[in-house]
Amino acid sequence: MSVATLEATPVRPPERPPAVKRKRENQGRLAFWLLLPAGVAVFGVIVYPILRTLFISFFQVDSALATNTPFVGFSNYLHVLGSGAFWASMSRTLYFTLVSTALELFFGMIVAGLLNAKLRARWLFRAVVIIPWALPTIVNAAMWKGIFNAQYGALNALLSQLGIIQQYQAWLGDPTVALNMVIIADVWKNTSLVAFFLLAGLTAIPGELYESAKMDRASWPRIFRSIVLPMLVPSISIVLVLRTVEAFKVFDIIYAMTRGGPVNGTQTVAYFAYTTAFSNQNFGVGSALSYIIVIVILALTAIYLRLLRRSEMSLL
Amino acid sequence: VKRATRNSLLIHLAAGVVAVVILAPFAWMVIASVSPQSMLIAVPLKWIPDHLYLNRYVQIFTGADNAAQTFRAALGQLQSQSWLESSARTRSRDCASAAAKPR
Repeated sequence: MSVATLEATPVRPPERPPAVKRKRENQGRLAFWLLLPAGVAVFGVIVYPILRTLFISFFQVDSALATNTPFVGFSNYLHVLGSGAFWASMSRTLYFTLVSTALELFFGMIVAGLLNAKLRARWLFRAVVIIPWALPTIVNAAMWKGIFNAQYGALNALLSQLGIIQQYQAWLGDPTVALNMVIIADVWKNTSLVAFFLLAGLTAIPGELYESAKMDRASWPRIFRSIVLPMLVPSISIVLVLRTVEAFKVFDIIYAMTRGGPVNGTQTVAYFAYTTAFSNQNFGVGSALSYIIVIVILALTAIYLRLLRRSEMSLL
Repeated sequence: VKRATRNSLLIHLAAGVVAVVILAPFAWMVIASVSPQSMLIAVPLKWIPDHLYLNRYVQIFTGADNAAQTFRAALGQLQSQSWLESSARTRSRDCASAAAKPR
């Protein structure tokens, strides 16, 4: 934003000696050459694949080495929008996104409150809470896959030794149960990120507000509703947008834990795009799918931004 | 004052619960990595192994199977230890000969 304002205001002095001018031009040229490698990398790694995917999504490409790729216009998109598998994966993705983001916000709020509270060994508690965030998603997924194992998983052992279940359960064997188990693994990992975001917001609340609320004999729920929540709107908004978008395009944890199974029970829309493009070798439809994901995420973000701009505290 | 101590106790308790929930799966992963296979698949699971089983770590860092080699390659340690040693030997020999060569 500051760059834009700087450009908008003409602060250039009216005249300059030619030597200075030449020096500036030289500097500009140097800057161009210095930035060129980064520009090429960004173009090659980000811009080119994005445009290429858009291009492919209008053609019928059903093999990695396809030679006959007729232009089909929007029929890839129509094919996707007309398929039941797409809408099923979309509804699973929505469920995953809603439930995991809501749980992460809920638990993240509690953990943030504890992180901010007066604790005996606060540094230790903060270090513990950061662990799940520091774990790579693949490791997290492998860990939970082991815990949920049907024959010798730790969850089965724990629950049966506590007498809660009589028989070992296949936690990742039933489509709906598996989806919820993946959500648990995701929530376990991402709650710590949410908690630290919210902690940043909590520490920014001035102590006088609490003191004056106590003078007014406000109860804890009341303080939470009238001070903490409004002051946390910026952090909540950022975390909400981040987590919703991330959860909507979830891929890695699904890939490592269930590969979309059982019976496609955990197949989210990003995983569906992956299998369509790379397992079924249907690159045209896969590209169309990924563009539909992009459009949905854009729409989600636009809605969020619009909602959040209404509140004055929002940073977005 | 009494209410304050009670609140503090509750907060510490809650923090303890959160810490356990976070640490338990992680700790189990660490314990499982040093437990022998037979204990891991036993059906009344014993949580603490009766002896440390470090073979997996040994295998990862020195083993010759595919997974171990892939791991080491991913860590950037593409060459095996012996290759490094031999190359270090040749390099020092080259250096010595280069130093001996008159310029």
